[in-house]
Amino acid sequence: MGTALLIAIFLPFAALVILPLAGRVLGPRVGWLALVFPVISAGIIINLALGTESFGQQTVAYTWVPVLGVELSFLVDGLSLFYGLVVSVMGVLITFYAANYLDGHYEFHGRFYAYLMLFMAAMLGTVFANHLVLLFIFWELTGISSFLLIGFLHGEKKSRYGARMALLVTGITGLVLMAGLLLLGIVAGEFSMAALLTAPPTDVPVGLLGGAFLLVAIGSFGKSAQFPFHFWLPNAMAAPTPVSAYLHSATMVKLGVFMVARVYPIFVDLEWWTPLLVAIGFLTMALAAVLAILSHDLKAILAYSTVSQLGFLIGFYGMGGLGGTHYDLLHVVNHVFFKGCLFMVVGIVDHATHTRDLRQLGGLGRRMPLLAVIALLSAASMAGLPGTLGFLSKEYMLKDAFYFAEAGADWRAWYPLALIVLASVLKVAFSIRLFWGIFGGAASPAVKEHFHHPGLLIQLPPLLLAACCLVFGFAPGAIAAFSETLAVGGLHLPGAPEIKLWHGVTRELITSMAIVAAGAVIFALGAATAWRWARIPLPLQFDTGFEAGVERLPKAALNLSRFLRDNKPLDYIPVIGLFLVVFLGGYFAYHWERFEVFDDFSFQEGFHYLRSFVVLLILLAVIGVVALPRWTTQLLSISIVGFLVTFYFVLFRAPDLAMTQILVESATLLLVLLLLSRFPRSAELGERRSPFSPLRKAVNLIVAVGIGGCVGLFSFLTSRQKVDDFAGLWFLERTVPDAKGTNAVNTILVDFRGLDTLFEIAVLVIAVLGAIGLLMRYRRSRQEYAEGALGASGFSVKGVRRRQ
Amino acid sequence: MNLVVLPVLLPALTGLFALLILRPSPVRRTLVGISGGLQVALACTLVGLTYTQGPMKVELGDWPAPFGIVLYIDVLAAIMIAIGAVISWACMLYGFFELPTRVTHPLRLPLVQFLMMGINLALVTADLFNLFVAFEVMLLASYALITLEADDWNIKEAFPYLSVNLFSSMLFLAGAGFAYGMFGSLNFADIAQQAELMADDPRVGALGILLLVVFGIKAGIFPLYFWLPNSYPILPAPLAALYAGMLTKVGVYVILRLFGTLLPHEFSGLHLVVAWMGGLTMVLGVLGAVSRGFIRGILSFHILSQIGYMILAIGFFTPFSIAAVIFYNIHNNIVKASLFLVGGTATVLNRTDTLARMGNLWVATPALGIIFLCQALSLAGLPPFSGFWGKLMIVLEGLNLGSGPGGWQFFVLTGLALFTGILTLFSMLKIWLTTFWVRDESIEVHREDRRWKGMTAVVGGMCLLSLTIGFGAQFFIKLSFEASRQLLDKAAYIEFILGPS
Repeated sequence: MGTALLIAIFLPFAALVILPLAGRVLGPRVGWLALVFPVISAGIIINLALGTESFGQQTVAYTWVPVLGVELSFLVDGLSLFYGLVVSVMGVLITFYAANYLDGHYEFHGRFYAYLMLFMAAMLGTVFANHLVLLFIFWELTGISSFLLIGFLHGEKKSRYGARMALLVTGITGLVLMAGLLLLGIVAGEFSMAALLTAPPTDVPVGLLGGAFLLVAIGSFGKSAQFPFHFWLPNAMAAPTPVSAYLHSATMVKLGVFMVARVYPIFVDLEWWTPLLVAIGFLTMALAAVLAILSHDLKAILAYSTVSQLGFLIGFYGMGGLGGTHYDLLHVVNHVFFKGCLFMVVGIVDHATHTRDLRQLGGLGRRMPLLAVIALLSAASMAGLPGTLGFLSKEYMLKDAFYFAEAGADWRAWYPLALIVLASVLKVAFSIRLFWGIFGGAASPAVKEHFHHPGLLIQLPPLLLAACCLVFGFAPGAIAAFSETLAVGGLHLPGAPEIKLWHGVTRELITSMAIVAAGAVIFALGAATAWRWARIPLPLQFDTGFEAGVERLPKAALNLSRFLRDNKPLDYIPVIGLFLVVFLGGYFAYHWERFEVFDDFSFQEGFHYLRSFVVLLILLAVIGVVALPRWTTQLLSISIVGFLVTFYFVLFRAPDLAMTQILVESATLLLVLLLLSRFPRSAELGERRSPFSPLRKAVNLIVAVGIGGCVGLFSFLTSRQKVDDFAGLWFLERTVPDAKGTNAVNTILVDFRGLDTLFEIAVLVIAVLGAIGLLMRYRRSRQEYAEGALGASGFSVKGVRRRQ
Repeated sequence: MNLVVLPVLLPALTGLFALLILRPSPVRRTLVGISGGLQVALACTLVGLTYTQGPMKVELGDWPAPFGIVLYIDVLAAIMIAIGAVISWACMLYGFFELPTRVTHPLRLPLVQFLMMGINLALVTADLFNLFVAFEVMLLASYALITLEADDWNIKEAFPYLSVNLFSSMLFLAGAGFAYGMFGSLNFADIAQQAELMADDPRVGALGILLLVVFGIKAGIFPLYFWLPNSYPILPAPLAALYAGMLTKVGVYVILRLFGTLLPHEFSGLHLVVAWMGGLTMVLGVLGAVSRGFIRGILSFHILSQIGYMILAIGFFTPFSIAAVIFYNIHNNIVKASLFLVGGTATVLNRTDTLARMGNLWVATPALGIIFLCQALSLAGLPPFSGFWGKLMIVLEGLNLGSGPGGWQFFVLTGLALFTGILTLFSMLKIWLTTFWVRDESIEVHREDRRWKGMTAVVGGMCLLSLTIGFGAQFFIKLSFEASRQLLDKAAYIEFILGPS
C-alpha cells in the first residue's frame, strides 16, 4: 500500500517539470498528456478503496527529518480515502474538461496543467497526511498552487488582486492553523494524527487544548471561506473556470471542512466546539445565500452558494454530538456533484457567449439543449428538488437541525434550523434564477452576437456529474453503503439508519416543500422587478474593505517608518545613544544598590591636584567644542582635548603612547583643517543658517551627557574592583626572557599580539584603497549633473551605458 | 599547516594577488574565481572536520592562552565560514556575468576578498580585542566598497553608514577595555570562566548590555538599525547580496557568542529583553519593507526583519532555539543573497527596480520567476522551502515556552513572528505582482542584453542550494543542533582553550 500511495501523491509533482516543457511543443494539446497524472492517482486510490472491506486506520511512514520528529507519514482511513477519491476523480474530470476548455485563445498551457497537478498532489498530500507538520506543509502548498492558478491570467488586474487576496487570507489563517496544530502537538505530546485520533488527549490543560482548537478552527474557517473570511472566494473566480470548478468548489475549499472532521474526535469534548462552529457555520450559510441572491455574475453566485454550503458543513459538524455524526459524506458528495457540474456548465456558457452576467444572458435552452438538461439536473439538486441527491441532503439536513433544536435547552438551539430554512429558500430562488436566466426566455443580444456552439466532449464531465445527482438521488442505497464502508471511528456513529427516498409525510418533507414554494415566490418577485434591487450593500463588501486596507498598508507603514525617523540620518546616532543611555543607564539605576559605588570611597583620599587640574582643562575644552561658533575653533577645541589626554599617558609613564597620541592628534588636526579649508564657503554658511532646534539641542545634550555619564561610571566601576592577575603582568614577566625584547609595549604589539598589529596594518591598506577608490570616481560635467542620475545606480547599469 | 588560519589566509592572499595584478582581466577573474571555489571547499572541509572531530584551535605565535591570541573553529564558526564562502563566490561569479571585464572596477575584487578576510577573522577569533580588529578590517573594507561604485546622488547615504559604525566601534573599544579591566584578560574562554565566577557581580550584566548594543548596531536590531536600510540599496547587486547575506549576519554570530560563550547562561531577564527587541525588529523591519516601492529597498528592510527572527530565538535561549537560529542563518543567508541577485537581474532586464515601472518578466523569463518564487516563499517561511523549517523551529520553541508557566509573553512573541511571516509574504507579493505578473506593452524587457542569462544561471545555482536545504533539512538541522551543543557547552570550551584546570 505504501508505495502505491506514495506514487499517487508524489507522481503529479513530476508534472511540474514535464508539462511546462511539453507545453512548448504540444500547445493546447498538452492537456491530454496531463490527464495521465490524475488517472494514475485516481486508479491507485480507487484500488485502495476497493481493496479492503472496512478500514480501520492504516499508516505508512518514512523518515524525513527525524531530528525534529517530522516524518513522511500518511494515514489511510475512511475520511482520507473519501477525500482522496473526490480529489483524484474530480481531477480526472477537470483535466478532461480543461483540455477542451483551454483552447488556442489561451497561452501557457503547460504552466496551467503544471499548477493544476501541483494542486492535486498537494490536496492528496493534505488529506492523507498523518504527521501534523506534514499536514500543514501540504495545506500551504494547496494555497500556493491556488495562488498561481487564480493568477493564471495575470495580465488582468482582477486576476492579480484576486490571487493576492486569496493567498493573503488563506496565508494568515494558514499560519494560525500552523500555530494550532503545533500547539496541539505540544500539548498532547504527540504529532501523529493517527495516534491522536485513537487516543484523544485527556488530562491536559483545557485552556491550552481549547486554544489549539480555536486556532485550528480559525485556520479551517479561512480555507473554507467562512465568515469573516468569506470574501476571498468570489474574488478567486478570476481563475479560468476549470480551476473554479476544481479548487473553489469541489476540493480546496473543502479542506476546512475536512480539517474540522479530522479533528472532530480530538476536540469535540470541548465546551467551545458546538457554540463556535454552529455560530460561524450557519451565519456564513445564511449570509452567503443572501450575497448570492444579490449577485449577477454567474460565477459569483456559484461562489457564494459554495460558501453557503461550506458554512452548512462546518455548522453540521458543530451540531454533532459526542458520539459522532451521520451522513456528513452525503452532504459533501452532493455538493461536489452539483457544484462541480454547475461550474462546468457556467464555463461552457461563458465560452460560448463571452459573458457571465445573468442580466445579459438568456434563451440558450434551444441552442444548447443537452447543456440545459445537465444544468436543470444540477440546479435541481442545488435547490433540493425531489428526485435528486440534493433533496436527500436537505431532508437529512433539516432532520438534524430539528433534532438539535429539540435537544437544546433554550431558543438558541433553533438558530441552525432558522438559518438553514432561510438559506435554503434563497438557494431555491437563485437556483431557479440561474437556470432560467441562462436557458429560459428569449435570446439576448449579447448571446446572438457571440454565440458559438460548444463541442460535445466538453459537456461530457458535467453530464456525468449531473447523472450522478440523479442516479444517487433515486438510489440512495449506494451512497449509504459507501458511507458505511468509509465510516471513521469517533467521527461517525456506528449503525447509521438507512437512507430512504420516502419517509412518509414528515415535518422535514413539509418544511422542504414550503422552502421550495417560498423560493419560487422570491424568484417570481425578483424576475418581476428584473432584479434591479439586487446589489451587495457596501457594509457587506468585505473584499472592497480588505483591498482598501491592503492598498493603504504601504502608506501607513511609510508613515510609521517616518515617525520612527529611520530616514533622518541626523537622528541615527542620537537614537542609538538614547537607547544606550536608557538601557545601560536604566540597568545601573536598577542595580544601584548592588554596585556599592561609593561604599569605601572618599574624595580626599583619591584627590590629586595635578590630575584634577587637567580634568578641569579638558572640561573647558569640551565646553568650547559645544559653545564656539566656528568650525575651525571647534576643531581646535577637540584637538586640545586630545592633547590634554596625552598628559595622562605621561603621568602613567607611557612615553610611547604619549608620543603616538601627539602625532595622531597633530596629523588629524592638520589634515582636517586642510580638507575643510577646501570646502566651499557655502557649506559653512548653510550650517550656520539652519541651526538645530532647541529640542534637538536638548536631546543631543541629554544623550551626550548620558553616554559620558554611563561610560564614566562604567570605567569608574571597572577600575574600583580590579582582578589580580592581569594578562599584562604576564607580558611584563615574559618580555625579556621569552620575547627577547626590552619594551613590553613593543613586544605586545609585534609578538604577543602580533596578529592584531598585522590586521591593523591591513586596515590601513584597505583605508588607502578606499581613498583611492574615492579619488578614481568619474567626474561629471555640469550638464551631466543637470541631467540627474544616470540609470539605476548601484546596479552598475550606468557603467555599461556610459562607455557605449 | 594548521587549517584554522586558512579561512583568513586564503582571502588575504587572494586579495593581495588581485591587488598586485590590479588590471581586471580574464586571467585575474579566473584565478580569483578558482580561489573562491577553494574557499568553499575549505569551508566545507572545516564543517566536516569540526562536526566529526570536534572544535579546532591554534595559538598564534605559540603564546599560550589566555595570553596570546587564539583562533578557534567549532561547527558554528565553520558553518558561518561556509555560508560566507558560498555567498561571496556566487556574488563574484554573478559580478563576472554582470559586468564585462573592461568596465569592472579594478578595486572591487581585492576589496571583497579583504572583506571576507575580516569576516572570517571575526568568525574564528576567540579574543575580544582581536574581534575588534576583525571588525575594523571588515568595516573599513565595507566603507570602501560602499563608496566605490555609488553614484553622486547616492553616495551621501554612505555617510550615516560610516558614522554609525564608527560610533559603534568606539563603544566596542570601550567595552573591550572594560572587559579587560574586569577580567584582566581578553581571551573568550578566560572571560567566560571568570564571568561565571562573578555571576552575581552586576558589572557583568552591564558589560553584556554594552556589547549587546555594539553588536546590535552591526546586526541591525531595533532601534539601532536605522543606518542599514537606506545605505544597502546604493550597493551594486552582488555586493548588496554579500552585505545582506553575510556582513550583517556576523553581528548575529557575535551576539550568539556573546550570550552562548561569554556571558553566564542565567541572565534570563536580559534574554527576555533580547527576545522583545527581536520581536520589535521583526515587525518594524517588515513594515519598513512593506512601505518601500523598489526592490532593493524592500529587500534591505527584510534583512532586519529576518535578523529580528534570529534575535528572537536567541532571546528564547534554549539549546533548541539556538539550533533554530543557526539553521535559520544557514537558510536565510542563501535566500537573502539570492533575492538581491534576482533583483539585480530583474533590474538589468527592466532597466529599473522601481516596482511601478517594472513588469512582463513572468512571460519573458519564467526561470527567473521560478527562482524568485522559490526564494520569496522561502523567505516568508512557506513550506516546503527552507524558510519553513526555520520558522517551524522558532514557532515550536515559542509555543513550547509559552505552554510553560507564565509564558504568555512567548505566545505574544510567537504571534508576532507569525504575523511578520504574512507581512513578509505581502511585500514579496508586491514584487511578484508587478515585476513578474504585470503585462504591459509599454514596459520594455531588454532580453537582448545577454548578461541576464549568466546572472540567472548563478542565482539558479543558489536556488538549488536553497531547495537542498529545504528538502534535506534533516542534515542541516542536525548540523545546527551539533553547533548549538558545542556553543552552549561552556565547560568543554573553556577546557579546550585553556587546557584542563
